[in-house]
Amino acid sequence: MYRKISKENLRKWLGELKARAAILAPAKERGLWSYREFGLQDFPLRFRNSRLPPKGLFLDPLRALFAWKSSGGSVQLTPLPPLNGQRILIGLKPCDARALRILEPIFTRDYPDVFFLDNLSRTLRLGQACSVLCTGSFCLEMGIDPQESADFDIFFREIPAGYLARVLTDQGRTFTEGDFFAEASAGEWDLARREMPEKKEKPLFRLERVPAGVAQSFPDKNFWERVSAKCINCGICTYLCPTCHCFDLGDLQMPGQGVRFRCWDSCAFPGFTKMAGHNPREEKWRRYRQRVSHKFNFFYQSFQSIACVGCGRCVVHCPVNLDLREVLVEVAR
Amino acid sequence: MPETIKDELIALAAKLFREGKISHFLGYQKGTLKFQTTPLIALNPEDLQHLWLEDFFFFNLAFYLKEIKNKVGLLVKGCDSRSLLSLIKEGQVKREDLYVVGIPCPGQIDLRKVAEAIAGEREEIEEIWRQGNEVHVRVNDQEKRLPKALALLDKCLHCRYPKPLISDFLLPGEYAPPVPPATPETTQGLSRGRDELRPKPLPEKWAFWVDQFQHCLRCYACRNVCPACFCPRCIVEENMPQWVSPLPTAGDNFVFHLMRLMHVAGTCVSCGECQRVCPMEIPLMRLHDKMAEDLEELYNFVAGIDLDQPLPFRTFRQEDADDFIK
Repeated sequence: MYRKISKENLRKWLGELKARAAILAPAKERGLWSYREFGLQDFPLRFRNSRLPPKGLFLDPLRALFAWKSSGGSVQLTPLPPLNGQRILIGLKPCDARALRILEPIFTRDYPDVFFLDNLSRTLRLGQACSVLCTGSFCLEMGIDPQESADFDIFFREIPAGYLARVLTDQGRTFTEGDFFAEASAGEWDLARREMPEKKEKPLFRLERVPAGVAQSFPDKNFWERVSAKCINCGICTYLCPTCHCFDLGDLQMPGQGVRFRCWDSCAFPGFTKMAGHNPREEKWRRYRQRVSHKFNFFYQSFQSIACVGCGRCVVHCPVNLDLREVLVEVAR
Repeated sequence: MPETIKDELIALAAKLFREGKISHFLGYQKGTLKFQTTPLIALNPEDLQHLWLEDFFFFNLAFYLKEIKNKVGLLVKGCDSRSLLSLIKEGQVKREDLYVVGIPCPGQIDLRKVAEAIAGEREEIEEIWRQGNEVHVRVNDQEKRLPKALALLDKCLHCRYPKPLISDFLLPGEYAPPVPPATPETTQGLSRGRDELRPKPLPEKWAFWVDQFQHCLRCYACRNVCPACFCPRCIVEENMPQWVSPLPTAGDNFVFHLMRLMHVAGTCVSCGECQRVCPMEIPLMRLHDKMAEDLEELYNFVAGIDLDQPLPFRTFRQEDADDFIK
């Protein structure tokens, strides 16, 4: 279903939504783009993507799970209040929206994670088509279309008169009923498609070759040593990744009581796999191999999708310019 | 830099490899992004072909000496050479295991500052080049001229040691003269803003840092990139007992950063790598600069400029002040 809305009506519509939900929109704070509660009037200009991926709005960097008290040899657990309150996430990009889809089975299959699921169900996802390819990105190679996506409730494309909206879910439909929107056609939607100005003639690598390529390279110690030589073992690539989801648990405790927390963790840290008497990934090349193999091979084996959307955050923010794209080009040869 | 100089360096390093004087040569190579080089870790003379000596060689390659324990040749800027002196003094590397090649540094361009100066995004910068005393930038097909103060890393604006303090070979070229120590007049108008925070009352400074550190992700890039952070096991990873929680709470983040600041006092040479790599853009150098100034003022000590002067925080003298112990 397609709808359209003028810029003026968009402002009014957002104003009305604000009364019903917390609106999280891209805003620049301390020089960094992030999704914040913000008095948004329109989709922001010059916004390419947020520094931290929106995964943090679903899988918080730090989240209290439950509280406990102990007395007289028994322990009482207190669940924390459920996460509630409708949220509307605006300006989300197709890569990050796909990343949320990729994360879904991890937190639903085998063990439903209430925190992640509550966050998913209370958040309406409104997307915006990209107008440029981000520096360092390789979304096209990863099969993400910066101008089209089915991973939203409503997906917007800019037109001179305002925005066209592709409504993709029932919830999206409820939010676009009313007078602010007018009917639009599939033909109008197709006409509003913009080509990416920086699109390359040839993709950097063929995605279908990547999982097998990574699997084949697995035993090649020399290869992994060579490609990871520069790595400084920091957590930037994992923490800025929209699909990395490994976490750690920890307690903040006082005598007789405490709170158990979950926080992000990174396979780049030597301590990540450290256990009593042994660390299977003591060396850096093993950790880098794990990160690439998990995303492009193990995850693919388990969930039939690849845990990377080509957003380019790891490429741009790596302190030593260790570029994942170069590694993928090599393994996909 | 002229090709002949690069050829000269390649020939020199290749000779060192052949003679068995080095096992690694650390330099820079062309990066995969605009305005970016990347460290080159050459293991043989063939790898040296990738050497690239053009702009944006901001890395302090001394940080790889934490990992590569061997005979190493490496390129250093003036500031990086102070890290080497510091590491030698601390017994982390031996002078005779290093072959140090100095490179003239015109001051490194700070892309964050350039983006700020053009009131745009880093991605919008089309071209950057130097001309005379200015840095020129092309954005949206328009040329803008920026004074150095708005385009170079803050540390470069007051660099007192632009010429490497130790070296076995200095690449030919122009080594900039040292910048005289900062005075209120010379720091006026700088974006570094240390003076903007310093005269403020303590609660305001406290609030500033509480806000900054709540953004910390605990990715440890600042610690890992730091040549002075060479402990094989960092206290934040100790868990019996656990001194600092790995949970990124505002309080634990604060403790982590202040502890690191105190711990590298005297070995930190203000290379600024921690601030450069911080993905959340926390202005860590405001703390490290203040620490460096205090050490100089209180102990007449400057980190990484000699091998002899003892580290203030690791020296005990009978006459040391103790009136703060009640």
